[in-house]
Amino acid sequence: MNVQVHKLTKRFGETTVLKNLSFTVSHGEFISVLGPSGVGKTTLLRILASLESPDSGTVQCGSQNAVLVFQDYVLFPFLTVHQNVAFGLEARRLPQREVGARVGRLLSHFGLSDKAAEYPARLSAGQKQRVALARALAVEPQLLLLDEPLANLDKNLKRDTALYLRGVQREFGITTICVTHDQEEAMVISDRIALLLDGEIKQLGTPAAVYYQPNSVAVARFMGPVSVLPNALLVCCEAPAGERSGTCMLRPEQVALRPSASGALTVREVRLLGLYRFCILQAEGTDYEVFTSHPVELHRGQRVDIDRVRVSIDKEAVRETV
Amino acid sequence: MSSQRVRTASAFLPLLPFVLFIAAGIGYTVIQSMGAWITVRPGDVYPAGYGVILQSAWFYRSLLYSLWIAAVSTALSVVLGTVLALLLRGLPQQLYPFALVYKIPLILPHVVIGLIVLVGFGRGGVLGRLAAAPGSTALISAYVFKSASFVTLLVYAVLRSFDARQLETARMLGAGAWQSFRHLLLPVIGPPAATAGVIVFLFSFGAFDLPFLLGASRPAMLAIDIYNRYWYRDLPARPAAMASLVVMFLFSTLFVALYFRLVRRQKHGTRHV
Repeated sequence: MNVQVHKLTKRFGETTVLKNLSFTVSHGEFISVLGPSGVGKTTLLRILASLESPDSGTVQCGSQNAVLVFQDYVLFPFLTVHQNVAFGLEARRLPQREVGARVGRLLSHFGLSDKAAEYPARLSAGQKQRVALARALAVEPQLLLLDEPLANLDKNLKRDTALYLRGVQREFGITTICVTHDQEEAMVISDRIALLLDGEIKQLGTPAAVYYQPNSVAVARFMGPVSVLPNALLVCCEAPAGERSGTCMLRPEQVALRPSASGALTVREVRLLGLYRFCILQAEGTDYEVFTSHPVELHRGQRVDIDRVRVSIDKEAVRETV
Repeated sequence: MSSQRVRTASAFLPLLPFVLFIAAGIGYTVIQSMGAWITVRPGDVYPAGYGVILQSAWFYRSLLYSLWIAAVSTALSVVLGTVLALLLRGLPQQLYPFALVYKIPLILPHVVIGLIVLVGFGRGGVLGRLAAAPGSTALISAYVFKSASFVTLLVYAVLRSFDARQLETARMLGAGAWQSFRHLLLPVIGPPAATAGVIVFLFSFGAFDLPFLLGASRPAMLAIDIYNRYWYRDLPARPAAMASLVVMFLFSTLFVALYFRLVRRQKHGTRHV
C-alpha cells in the first residue's frame, strides 16, 4: 500500500510549519525526511501517525495503521521487555498463547530473549531501541515512522545501527518514513531523501541525486560541503560554451586544485577539516570558498587553477529526482 | 569514637529537640495511662486505664466510628483528588492558572472549612436537612473538602513529569482507555495517591478540631471521647483516656509500618524503574 501525502499544511498560530507538502511513498520503501531542527519534521511524523491533524491536505495510508517510534523510544517503564512487546497484541485481545509465541519470535529476532524479564531502566540505548522496534513491529503496522532513530546513539554505533535498521526494514518489508537532521544518517539508511527546508520539500530523490545533483544551493549546502563556483573559473570544465557563464556546485571530491605560476586564483587561507580541506581562494578581488579532498600541497599566496574532477555515478542511483 | 561516628551523631543533633519533645509527650501519656502522675501529689496512683477501655463499649464504638469516618473520607478524597489531578493534567496550559483554585482548601484553616461545611451540611444547614446521618455527612464532607486538594497536590506533582507520549504510543498500538490507565497511569499515580491516602487516613482518624465542630456526640470520634474523659470527668477517668491515646498512637504506628513494608516489598519485588 502506497502512502500518499497531498497538499499537507500545518500552522501553529501565525507560523506555517508545513507548506503544501505532497509526496508518495511506495510499498516497502524507506524514505528519510531530512532537515534542520525546528523545520517541522516531527510535526509531519505526528500527522502521519494521526497524533495531530493537519490544517489542510490529506494523508492516505490504507487502514491508518501507523506506529511512530519516538526519538527516545518511550518504552513503558513499569512493564518488562516482554510486556512492552506484547502490549499491542494484548490490546488486540489475541489469545495468550499466540501473544507469547509472537513476542518470543520477535525477542529472539532482535536478540532480546535474555532481556525479556528486564525493565526498560536497565537496558542500554541500543537495547531500548530494539525493544521499541519489536513493540512497533509486533502489531504489523502498514507504516513505520521513526523519529531521529540514531540520535541517542554513540557516533561509532550510528552507522552500524543505521544498517541494522535498514536490514530490519527490508526483512519485514515495511514502508518506513524516518526523520533526521543528519545527512550522513539519511544517506546510509534511505531509498530516497526528502529535503525539508522552510516548511517545503525542496528536493526528493535518491541519496546520490540529492547529493550530486542538488536543485539549489540551499539543498547542496545542507547535504554537505559544497563549492559554488563560476563555470568560467573551472579549467577542465566540459560544459558546453553556453553554460560557462553560470555557476556550478561541486563536492570536495569533484574539486582538484592545481598549483600553477599563471593560475587564475590565489590561495588566501587553507584549513584541514579531516577528510577534506577548506580554502579561501581569490580571483579578481572576489573570494571563493572551496572544499577539496584532493591531496596537494597548498600554502598561502600560492597561485592555483581549479580542475573539475568527474565522479562517475550509477544512473540507477540518481533516478526519480523531483 | 571514630570521626565517622562523630559526623553521624552531629548530623542527628538538630533533630534532638524534636525527638526529645515527642518522646517526652509519649512517655508522659504512657505513665498517665498506667495511673501514675495524674495529680502532683506523690503517692496518688489510680488503676491503669487499659483494663477499663478493653471492657468498655464506648471505646469500641468510638474506635470503629473513627475508623469508618477515616476510611470513607480517605476513599472519597483519594478518588476525587486523583480524578481532579487527571483532569488538571489534560487542561490547556493557558487555563491552568484558573485551575489553581483547587489549592484554596489547603490554605484555609480547618475551623473555616468546618464552618463552611456546617452551613451546608450541619444539622441546621441547607443540605444537612436532607442527609440521613447529618453529623457523619458533615464531618466526611469537611475532610473530603480539605483532603481531596491535598491528594490532588501530590498526584498532580507526579503527573506533571509523566510523559504523555506513552499514552500516544499506547493508542497507536491499539490500546483502549482502560488498558492505558491500568498499565501506564496507575503505576505512576498509585504511589503518591497511596501515600496521600495514608496521611489523610491518619489525619482523619486522629483529628480533633473538625469532629469537635461537626461530629456527632454518640458515638463520638475517639479524639473527642478522649478529650471529654480527660477534662470533664473525675480524675480516675484520666488513665482510660490516656490509654485510648496510647492505643491510637500504636494503631497509627502499626498502620504506617505496614504501609512502608508494603511499599518496600513492591519496590524490590516488581518495579525496577
